[in-house]
Amino acid sequence: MREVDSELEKVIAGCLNNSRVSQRELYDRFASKMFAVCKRYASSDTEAEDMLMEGFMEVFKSISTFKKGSAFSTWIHSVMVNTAISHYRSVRRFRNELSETDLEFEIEASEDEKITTSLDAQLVLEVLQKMPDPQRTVFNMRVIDGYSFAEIAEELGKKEETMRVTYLRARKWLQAQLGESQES
Amino acid sequence: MKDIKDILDNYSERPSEDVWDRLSARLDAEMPVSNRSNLWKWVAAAAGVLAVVGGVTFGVLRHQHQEKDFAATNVTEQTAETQSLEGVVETQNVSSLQEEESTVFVEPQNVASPQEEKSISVVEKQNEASQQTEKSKTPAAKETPKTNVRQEVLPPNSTLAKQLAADPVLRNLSGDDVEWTKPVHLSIPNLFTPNGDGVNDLFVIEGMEQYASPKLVVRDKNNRVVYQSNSYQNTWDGANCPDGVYSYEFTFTYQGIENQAVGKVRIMRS
Repeated sequence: MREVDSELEKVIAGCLNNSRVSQRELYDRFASKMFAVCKRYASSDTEAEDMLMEGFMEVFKSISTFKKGSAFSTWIHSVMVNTAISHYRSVRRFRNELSETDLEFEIEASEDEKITTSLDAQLVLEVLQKMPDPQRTVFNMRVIDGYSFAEIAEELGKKEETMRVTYLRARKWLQAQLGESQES
Repeated sequence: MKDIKDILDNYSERPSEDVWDRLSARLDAEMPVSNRSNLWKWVAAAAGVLAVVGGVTFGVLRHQHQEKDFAATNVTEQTAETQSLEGVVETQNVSSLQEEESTVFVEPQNVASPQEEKSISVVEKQNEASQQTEKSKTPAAKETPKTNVRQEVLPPNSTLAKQLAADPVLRNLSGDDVEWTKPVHLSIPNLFTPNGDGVNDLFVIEGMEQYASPKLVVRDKNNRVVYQSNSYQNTWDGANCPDGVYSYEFTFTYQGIENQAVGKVRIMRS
């Protein structure tokens, strides 16, 4: 474990000096994991690759803000998620804004229940990529990346209530889709 | 039945090789290797000298230490800097020269002794500081929200940069086995909005944590000190300062050398 860490530290030090060799090494180490993150937020693999590239640019540019001693995997993950979110902000708009009247009765549904599935990740991702836009981003932030609704609302510049409803719709939608594909 | 979070958390997939190619092209454009390390500047200069001086003079230079009269005219043209660089280049090319006279070997001179290197970075940093001052004198109307203090040495797309990137020997010189001073990488905003909305409420200097003793002094238009900290923690909120433009002096220490960045910052609450 220690050995791996010290090696990573070397690579990070190289990246601080803008060494291409180290940047490539860092990329090789984390690209697969980060690509999976991007795929969750993207509507297609092409878009996921764009996000991945943006994310790594950001990683290399701001690597000096990484604090030695903290977990690098956590840091790079958060950089990637932030990139995905700003990507969302820059290319998309909320198309189907919710009206205030929708809110109250939808909010009844439970949030805590986990979505379980026997499907594999690739299928889940495939389904997730088809999810309509605001839902997918909110779903990802909430379920997988652990944002609170308040944080999501702030990041996306929307009301917290709206985010809750969007999230519930996302769950319903996903459950319906996964249910269907399980039956078939 | 598995939780969807677990499934997705544990998943990984190799992106296509194309992504790295694009990424590396963008790195070359936006973060050219040359502007990051002092070594690259040296190497760039060395390559330039190498191209000009060429193989013949090279031989001459090698004789310089044995037969002073022989190479005198050629050598005097070299500046002190490039002379010391010959040491580097020579060692790199020594393998190809060994066939001829393996006994003649010019001792690589001190290419970058710690003192030299430090003094260079001080000069660079001072230059930057003065550049920033000049920049801040221009009207604030079209300023971008953030100003990156950075040093450009070689244009990314210059022929020389490409040649350097293509040369396996020179390229490897930028490797991690050599310890060089860290690049100055500070991002100082020229605008912040201390209106309590949780966004951009503080004067935050990014990259500051790389340096020791961060000191900040802020003055108003009348040159009156409105804020001062001898250990700045990115906490200035512009309290008691009406909207307007202020000038700051940010002092930081790296490897025992004190540097300063000066500029203007606008406080805008609405």
